[in-house]
Amino acid sequence: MTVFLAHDGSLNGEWIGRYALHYAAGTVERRLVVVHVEDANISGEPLHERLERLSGLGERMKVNVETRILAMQHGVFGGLDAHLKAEPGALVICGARAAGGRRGLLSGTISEQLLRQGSYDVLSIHVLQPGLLGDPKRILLALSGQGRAHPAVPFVKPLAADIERLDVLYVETVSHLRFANLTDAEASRLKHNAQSIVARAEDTLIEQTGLDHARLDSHVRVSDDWPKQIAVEAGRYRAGLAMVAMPPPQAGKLSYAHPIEELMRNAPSDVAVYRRAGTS
Amino acid sequence: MTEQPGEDTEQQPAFGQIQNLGAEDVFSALGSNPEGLSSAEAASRMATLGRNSIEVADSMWWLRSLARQFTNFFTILLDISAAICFFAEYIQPGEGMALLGWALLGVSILNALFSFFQEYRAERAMEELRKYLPHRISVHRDGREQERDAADLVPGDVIQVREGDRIPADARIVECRDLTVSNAPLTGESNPLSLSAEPSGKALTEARNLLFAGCTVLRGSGLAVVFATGFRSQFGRIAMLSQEIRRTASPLERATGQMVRILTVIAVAMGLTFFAYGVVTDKSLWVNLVFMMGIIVANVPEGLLPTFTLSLAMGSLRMAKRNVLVKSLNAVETLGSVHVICTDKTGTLTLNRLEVVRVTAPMATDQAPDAMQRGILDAAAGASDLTVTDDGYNGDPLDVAIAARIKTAGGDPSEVLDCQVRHFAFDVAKRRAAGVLAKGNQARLTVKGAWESLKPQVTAIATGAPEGARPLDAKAIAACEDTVSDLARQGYRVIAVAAKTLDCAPDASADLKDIEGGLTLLGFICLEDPLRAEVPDAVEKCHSAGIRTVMITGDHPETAEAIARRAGMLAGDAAPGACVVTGDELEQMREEDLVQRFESGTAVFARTTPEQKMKIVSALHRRNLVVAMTGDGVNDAPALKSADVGVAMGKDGTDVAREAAQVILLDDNFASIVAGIEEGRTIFANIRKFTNYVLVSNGPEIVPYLLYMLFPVPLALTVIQILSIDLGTDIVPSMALGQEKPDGQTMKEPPRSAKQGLLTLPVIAHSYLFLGLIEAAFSMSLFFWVLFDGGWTWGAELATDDPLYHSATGIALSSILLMQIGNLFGRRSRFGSGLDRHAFANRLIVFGVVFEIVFSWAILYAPWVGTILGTGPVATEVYLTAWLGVPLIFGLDYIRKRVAWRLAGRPE
Repeated sequence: MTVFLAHDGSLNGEWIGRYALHYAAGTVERRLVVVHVEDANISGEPLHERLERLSGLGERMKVNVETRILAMQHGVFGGLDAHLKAEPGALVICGARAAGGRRGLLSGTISEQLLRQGSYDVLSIHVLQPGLLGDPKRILLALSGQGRAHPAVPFVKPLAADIERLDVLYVETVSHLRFANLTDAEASRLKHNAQSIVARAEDTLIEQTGLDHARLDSHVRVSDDWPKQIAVEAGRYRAGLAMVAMPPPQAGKLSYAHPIEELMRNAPSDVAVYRRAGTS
Repeated sequence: MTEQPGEDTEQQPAFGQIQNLGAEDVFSALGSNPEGLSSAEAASRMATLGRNSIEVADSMWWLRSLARQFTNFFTILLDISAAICFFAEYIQPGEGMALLGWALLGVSILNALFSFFQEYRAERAMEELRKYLPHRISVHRDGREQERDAADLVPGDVIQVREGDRIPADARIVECRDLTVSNAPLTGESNPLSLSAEPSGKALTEARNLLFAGCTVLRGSGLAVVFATGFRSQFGRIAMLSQEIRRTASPLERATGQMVRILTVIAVAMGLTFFAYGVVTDKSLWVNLVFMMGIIVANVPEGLLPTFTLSLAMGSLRMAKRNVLVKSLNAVETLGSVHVICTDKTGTLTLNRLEVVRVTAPMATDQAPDAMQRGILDAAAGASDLTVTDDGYNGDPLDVAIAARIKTAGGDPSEVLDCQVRHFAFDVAKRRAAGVLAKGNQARLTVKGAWESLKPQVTAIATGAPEGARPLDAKAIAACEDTVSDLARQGYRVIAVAAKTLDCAPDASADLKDIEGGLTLLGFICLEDPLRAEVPDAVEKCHSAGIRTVMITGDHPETAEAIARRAGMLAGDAAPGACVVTGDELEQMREEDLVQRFESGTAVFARTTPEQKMKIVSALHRRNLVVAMTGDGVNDAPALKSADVGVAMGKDGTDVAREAAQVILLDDNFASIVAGIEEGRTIFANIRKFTNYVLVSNGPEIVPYLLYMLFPVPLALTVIQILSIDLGTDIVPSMALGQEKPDGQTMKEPPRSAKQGLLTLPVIAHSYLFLGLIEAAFSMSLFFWVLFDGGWTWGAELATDDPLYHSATGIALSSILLMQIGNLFGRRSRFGSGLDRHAFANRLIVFGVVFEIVFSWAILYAPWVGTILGTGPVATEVYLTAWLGVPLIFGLDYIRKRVAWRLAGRPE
């Protein structure tokens, strides 16, 4: 597996670069390919300086950093996509929009396009705590949909050696009306069903990432507010990074009000959105 | 005692988190430089990462919260009832239905607003938290130091902090001079912490090279680079959790929700069924609608929900008298449902006061002989810094405790203090204090402090004989170590006392280190924070009530265990350490493992951080246990919100904790929690009583509508008459039942099961099918008696304004009210008659009974009441016959109780 960093040349990109270095350090190849598509935003000396700094850090971390400056092909995404498609088994790390505002943080970004592409593993990170330097130690993995952990494996495995605690969370989401009137029996039933989901997810993670039970814990919550619950749990478990899966393409485009966007805005930790190649 | 940096310093790693880096690498890691950020760069980062504030970004949260309060079943049911009244007014104007509708709507709005303000309180906790953050801060921008709004800080900013400053954001120190901070808002630890700029190998929260938002600089100054702002700082995370954690619905909310759902389903199903029946049997749409509305009104106990609120409010007043201030009404009952109390040690189980309890010779754990004790205490007083005030001695709690002990033993500490010519203040690094006493030509140095810190200076130990001492050899050291560890295991704080004779008093500039060598160890003073006298009984009471008690403390495990044993929280045969979990162990545990430890008897969590309280709550919630959690610090706020009942300390707690909690202990005393639990249990028992009481009258309210629909008979009760019971005469007796005192069994039964609701099948059967039918049968008999007596014949039409109809409906209503008196007394006791429990001790019961009697008379014989309710007079013998309903219902119910008592195995 080769780790690629889609670097936009910004300071935010540099912070995401630290995550990329950690990911690369967790692979057998210990290789990071930094790809930058030349555009009008950042170029010349500032870009060169940032890339140099990343290479320097890579050297200290014993990661071989290779920089590739690409030309646009029908825009930045076209240039990146054409290059990455040619790289089998690529894990692409990119960043969410730094300044969100009403546009949202991921909505309409190159990262969203990469996440939707589906041909390679993509992890888009929103860095809120640059002090972690890309080494979150404590991670909250929020399972979604069917609660499968399999799609998260490529994004957990490279960090496994450095992870002090991985909290696996499954939020059983119910409507507000149902939540307000949930009986104990119903809540227990929902939790009981979800426990088997997280137990399976734990087994998958232990089997495929090298994590052990001592560093792994799982939790089930019933909630009517998925993003808020994840933000609260990230705070509760002192997570440095909260990881969530990209919703399937049929769930529609991301917008400001989308739960993923809401989570990215409100989480007390860095937030990563992932999509494994070939998964919906 | 100041904790020193340095011990966590390790070789700088190639990579890691910000605390792991060398100071020179911090700037590049955060894209900054020693001159600070440029204004343009700071503005760009501000746009990226937002302001350094813990303001709520969602300005519309209150609107959503308000909407939520108006969509719960409680409120919806009250709104439906109000709508029914307005509809009734539309059909039969002038009967006061609109007024009742408005009353119900008012109750619904009040209920919703009340819940809203409970939620709004979270915002007040945020206000208290904001007070910990400064408004202005010195920051390096554009190459110069300038004062700016603290909210303008961004990661990468270089800030200057000085003595007395509050820290605005999490920052990595790059330069410092004698920098000492208090991290109490984050850690709960009041000990000052010395910081440095050296890289640390520890985790973020444990590193000694970081400043954390909300904390205070006690001494020195430093330069630091900001790396986390706003909600992303450690303090911001506490604020976010305090704000965002939603308390789960209380057991009472769940029980009432379930009851309301069941009653709604019954009411609507019956209404619709008979509406359909009416359509099939060709009754007019108008009659059908009136009927459907009547059957719904009869089924819905409109007055029950407001009575709940009143009962809880009165319960909270009773709790306040027992030093338990309840901020949220639902917490009144939730306290009664708790399965586990997680309590702090200091101040809650103990008095938060140091007391000398033992003075020992160097190599003994028993009390030393009196003369030796006096010598040790005098030496310790010589190393104290005390001032005499009108109230006694003033100074460090340890010094005050020593002086108090000397006085108790008949001595006078002033005699020693008067001889003190020099005092060496407690050195937090050396962990000892000293003093020089001079009398005539003699001078003596006395030193007191931790044994580990005195040991290197001690060369001899006292033997007990006057001035007798022997050299301190390896054997003696080992014996002293054993003594100290033995005493610590018993939960004592152990202070070593040593002294030496000086040739002359040292001059004012002399340093302690130059004169303290060659000390003679005199002995040890054992201190403890005494257990509150009420605690063992309160813990015992908890155990008989099936409530687990868990101590969570930052103290040493042995101290914590010793206190837990004295309080009775640990089983007598529990092996030492078997029931104790330390914070480090807790950190490594999975929640499920923690549950297992808890189930195997763990009752003490020592050396824990307040953050870990949340983990304990989560683990207990896995077993569906209702948890009460105490807390007093800023960082306790998230745990107080996570628990089912957050209990804050009223005397020594912070405002943040008080705002985050639902219950405040005015005296900080554990025993008050137990008193609150007793009240809470009583309140639930009383709510069950008056729910049962109120539902009984639903029977005679429903039956007339069924008869009206199925047979050619007049309607025995109108909607307004039903409402006069539900919202009128039943209210005072219900409130009276809500005021019943706890009985002897209240704290001898286990906590009620979460599955045990208010509306169970036995309650429904008893209310509707037993007492309800008796009331219905008797009241309908009187109704037909009056009708037939007045010349009505079966199947004949009777106008609603006919005086005969008024009299018949009047006696039906009047008899129901009278029978409710019998029902009222019956509800006071599960198996007893109800008259045996000081029938007239509860004044509200007397008032309720009088009210029902007067009203039962007034609806028949007071013309203005009759006009409003559509009732009229009946012959006196008929009214007197209605009185037979009282012993009838009371007697039949009593027979049922005796049978039930026998079937239940004749319980006490």
